Order: sequence, then structure tokens, then C-alpha cells
Amino acid sequence: MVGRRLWRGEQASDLLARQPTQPFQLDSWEIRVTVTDSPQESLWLAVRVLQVAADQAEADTRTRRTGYVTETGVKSLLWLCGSLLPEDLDLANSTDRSRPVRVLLQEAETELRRFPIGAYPAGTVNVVVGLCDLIRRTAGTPT
Amino acid sequence: MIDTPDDLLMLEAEHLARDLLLDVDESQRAVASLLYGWAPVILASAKYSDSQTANPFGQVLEICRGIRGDARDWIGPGRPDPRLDRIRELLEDVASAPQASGNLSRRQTSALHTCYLATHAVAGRITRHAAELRHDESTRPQGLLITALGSRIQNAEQILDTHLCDRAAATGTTIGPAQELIDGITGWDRLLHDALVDQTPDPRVLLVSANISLGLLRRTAELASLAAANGHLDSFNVHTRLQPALNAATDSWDRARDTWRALAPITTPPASLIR
Repeated sequence: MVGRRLWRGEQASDLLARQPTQPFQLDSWEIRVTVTDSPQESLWLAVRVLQVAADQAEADTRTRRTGYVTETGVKSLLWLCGSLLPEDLDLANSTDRSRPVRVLLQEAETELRRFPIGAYPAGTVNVVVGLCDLIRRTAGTPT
Repeated sequence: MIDTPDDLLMLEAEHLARDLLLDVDESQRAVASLLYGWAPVILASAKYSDSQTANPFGQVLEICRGIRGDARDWIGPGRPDPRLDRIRELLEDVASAPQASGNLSRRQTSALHTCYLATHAVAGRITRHAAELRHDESTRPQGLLITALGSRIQNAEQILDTHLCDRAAATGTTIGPAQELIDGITGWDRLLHDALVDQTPDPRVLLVSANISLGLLRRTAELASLAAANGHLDSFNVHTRLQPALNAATDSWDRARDTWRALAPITTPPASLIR
């Protein structure tokens, strides 16, 4: 969300505490900054970004901007990453949906650098490897 | 977590290994650099596990020793990659510092993660470089030799992965990709059956099943085209019978997916689909 006048910091733990109630509504002049302070919150944020990437990848497949391989790769990662978290966590995300898949994947990868891999749930290393491989494979393509 | 300066050094090493994974330079020079930088990293990591009864790096070190001569002959000389060099320095610095016993296990795991990421990067890069060489008739023999080299590093990667996943390393049982695929499809079939039969239908399960079915159908179409182009399957049958059937099935699953997506909440997967 792009804004000019006000920054709003938000602890991801606040988001977890609000789960699964209504999404937080911000007015159009704010920038939403989510600060993750635990590995689980960080992973959750990464999954939400991957959810947006999966939707974008699906749209790209429909318009033939990219092949289905990218879409399948993103969805596999989303699935893998989501399965490391508790059931029924909300994955709706207010992030800018018009960004290319590759940018979204990079955002998820960067989020997963916040803590050592060993601090995340077991299996996160496979998500990291998958993300890096997918980002590298999509290098130079429009998305 | 990050409690001490040493933890930060280990985190830097891990991030450098990720940077290697993201690097797209697959030239001969880059591959040689990676290969010559990789073995010292393994050697530095092995120091973290000296006290363990089952040192995960023992077999990997043997692989490092085994490929040294072949690497020089088949890939040529090179300087160690500076990022791998830095990883080695970081690992050696932390290993030489006095440590509280409670931190040892965490650092062993961190070193193992870094090594696994670096090894995956090296194996992948060599494999892709070899594939490029194989495409050209004049470099094909060299490509085949480097492919063999890459597969030995992939073996090292699998050994590290086994230890990371804490699987029964002692059994030493490995299965081939075909069996792995069969096991995966069988397992998926069982999970889907358990999740759908005698249960209230969960749109999320149906959405996931649609996504997987679409992926399988598209992959099948791609493989069939490839097989027809290479003469392994009858081209007429593939194009007039198989492809139209796959296209029709794909369209149906696509429509079904849209329906289930409209009904499914956007959440993490249901526990019934996770094993």
C-alpha cells in the first residue's frame, strides 16, 4: 500500500492475535509496515506474500505471459510453506497485487532471511531452496 | 535465534549461501570457482561435528577428496569463489571461539544448513553447466564427464539433506525418482481419499486437488509432446487422441478450480492434507 504522509508500524503478533477476525482496514494514505518478531510470524508473512504470487502466476498463465511451470512452482511452494503453519491461518494480504511474480518471490525470500533457517519450523530449508531456485529460473522473464 | 555475535556470523554465512543459490552465472569460470571453494567449506563445517558419533560430513568429505583430481582435469583451474571463501572464514571463526555447551547443537544445525544450501548451489550450477555443454556436439564428451562430477556432488547434497531431515541415516536406503513419484502419487491418493470420503466436503481440499490435477495434466501433455518429438510415442496418436483428451480434462479442472476457489477461504491448508 503506497502512502505519502503517514507510516504505520504494526507488529505481526497483533495480526496473529486478531486471527481470524476481519482484515485490518487502512486508509489510502498509509504505508503498512509489518514487523515480524518471531519465526512463525515471519513464515506466516512469507506465506501471505506467496499467496499473492500464486494468484499472480495463475493470472499470468491465463494470459500466457508465463508458462504453467512457474504457476505450479509457486503453488507448490505455497503449499509447502503453508503446511508448516497451523491450520486455518488467514492468508489474505493487503500487499500490492499488481507486482510481478518474481518481485513477490524475492519479497518472500527476503522475509525468510530475518531469522536463521534453524529457528523456523523444520522443513523451512526446503522452502528457501525452492524459492531461490524459482527466483533464479524466472530471472530475465517479464514476471 | 540470534543471541550472540557468533549467531550473527552464522547467519551471515547462511545468507551468503543463499546468494549463491540466486546467482545465475553458469560460465565455466564461475563453475570452477564454486567447485574449488566448496571443499574448504565442507572441511570447515566438519569441525562442528567432530564430537558427534555420526558425523554427517564424513561421507561428504570423502566425496570432496574423490573429485579433486577430476575437477582439475575436466573443469580446469580456478580460484575459490569469494563468497564460499567468506563462508569458510566465518565457520572457522565461530568454531574456534569458546562456546557454551547449549549453543553447540544450534551451531551444528546452522553449519549443516549453510553447507546444504551451498552444496545445492554448487551441484545445481555444475549440472546446468554440464547440460549446456552436452547440447553442443563438440563439447558433449566434456559435458558428460562434468555431468558425472555433478551427480557426485548431488550425492553429497542428499547425504546432508538426510541428516537435516533427521531421517534414518543408518538404514542407508535410497529410492529412485520413479519410485519416489509412485510413492508420492499413492500417498496423495490416500490423503485425498481420507479427506473426502465420509467427510463434509472442504472446498480447500477440492481446490488443492484441482491445482494438483491441473499440474499433472499439463506435465503429462508436455512429456507426451516431448516423447512424440523424440519418436518414443506415436506422433499421430499423441496429437489427435491424447492431446485433445488432456485439453478437455484441463478445461474441466480449470472451471472446477474457479468454482472451488470462490467457495474456499484463503487460509493455510487443512490439517487433513498434511502428513
